[in-house]
Amino acid sequence: MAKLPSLKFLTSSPNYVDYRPAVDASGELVVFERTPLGSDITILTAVFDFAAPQAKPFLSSAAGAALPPCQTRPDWCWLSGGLLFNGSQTNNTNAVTVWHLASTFSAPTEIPNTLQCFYPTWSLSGTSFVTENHAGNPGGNQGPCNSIFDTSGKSVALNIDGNDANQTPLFGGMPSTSGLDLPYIAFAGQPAIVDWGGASGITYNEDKNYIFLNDQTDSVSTPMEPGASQQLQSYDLTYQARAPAWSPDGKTIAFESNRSGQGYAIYLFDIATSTVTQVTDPALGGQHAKFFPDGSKLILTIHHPDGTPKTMGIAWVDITNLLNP
Amino acid sequence: MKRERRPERLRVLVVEDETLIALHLESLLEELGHTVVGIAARVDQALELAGREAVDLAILDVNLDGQQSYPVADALAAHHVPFMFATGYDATRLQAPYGDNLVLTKPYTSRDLQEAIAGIFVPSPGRRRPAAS
Repeated sequence: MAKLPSLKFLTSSPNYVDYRPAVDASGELVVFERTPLGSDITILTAVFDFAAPQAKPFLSSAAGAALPPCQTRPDWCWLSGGLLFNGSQTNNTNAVTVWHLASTFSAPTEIPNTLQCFYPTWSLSGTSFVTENHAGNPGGNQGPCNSIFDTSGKSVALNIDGNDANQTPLFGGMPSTSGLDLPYIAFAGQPAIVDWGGASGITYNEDKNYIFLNDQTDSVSTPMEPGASQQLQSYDLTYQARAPAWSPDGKTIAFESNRSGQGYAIYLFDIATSTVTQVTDPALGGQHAKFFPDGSKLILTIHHPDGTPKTMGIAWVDITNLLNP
Repeated sequence: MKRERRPERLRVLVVEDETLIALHLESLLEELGHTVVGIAARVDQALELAGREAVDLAILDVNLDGQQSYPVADALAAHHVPFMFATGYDATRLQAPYGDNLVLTKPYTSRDLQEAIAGIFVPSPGRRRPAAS
């Protein structure tokens, strides 16, 4: 295996679990989830000054604003400067909604009609977003679909996932819009067929997704990896993937996968050549990668390679040498 | 605008539209033992925070994304709340009547900030911070 790029840690603490980072348009400010060990309360935390990283609560300065006790899954809009995130009373609940911070230091607002909508992800324009909607699957199946809302909470599209090539409805979540903006969406999906999730019925299994692509020109979504298109009747670990993140130039998708069976790691998929390149060591459990605005780096969640502390921290990695010219 | 004594732990309002500068300033103030009661990136936010929070000191970026912070200075002055400007521009260009106000020149260090805070609470009219070297 080729030498993997080195990890540059911004946070790594024995007292906190740090998760799901997002980079702002400057490329110098990262917001992520921070959960004290043993707590079920998570708050958005900012880290800046990469040379001497400092982490501090991100929304505490909005004095007097009504904030959800739990703040998770942040996503920056690089055009508007707005931030979307999930809000809830505690962790481990489906009663999450989507919140909108129109600009840094303004008061966040809860977006109506977004109960059970996870992973809000901006369109580039900053006027609408895609989200993993657990309340909107029109088929009544026990799984999510990806929906589009505008920032006022108006539904734009209830289910953009559609069917696979066999006309089987798809469960979908964890969406990412491309650097070419809507309608190009990548998402973690799986056909809604019995036993796909290893259960007796049609249920959603978050560890058994492929990444699907949808351009909204028809009702069919296609697996990102060509080989996965041949494996739509039964699950194949070879193509397991989720949490896609599209590069700013629309040429590459970063994703996380446990396809090695050794743990989650970050990989890159080159759209032009359909090649997959490994970025992190599966032993470190890398997850939730997102691109920096210049496309040359990823921010991600991962364990520190020295094993101490064993909690997850936030790191960035230079992928310049892994990208196809 | 000056006070004979200041609280040990100041409640500071930060008015700054650059996120990274605001967060850095918040860290510096906290390291110096003070509390940031709010950060405002716009004039209306700053006026709202200044009206709602008990503020011992305000630090005002002069240019807030094209809007000048003088209305905030006016409101603070009317309520006898000490404030200083922070700017990367020429401090002599401050609009009247604030031409003699204390100015924290960007970029500044923790020591610059500490000295500026000390300076604003002692009776030294017209004192300016020299540009950071």
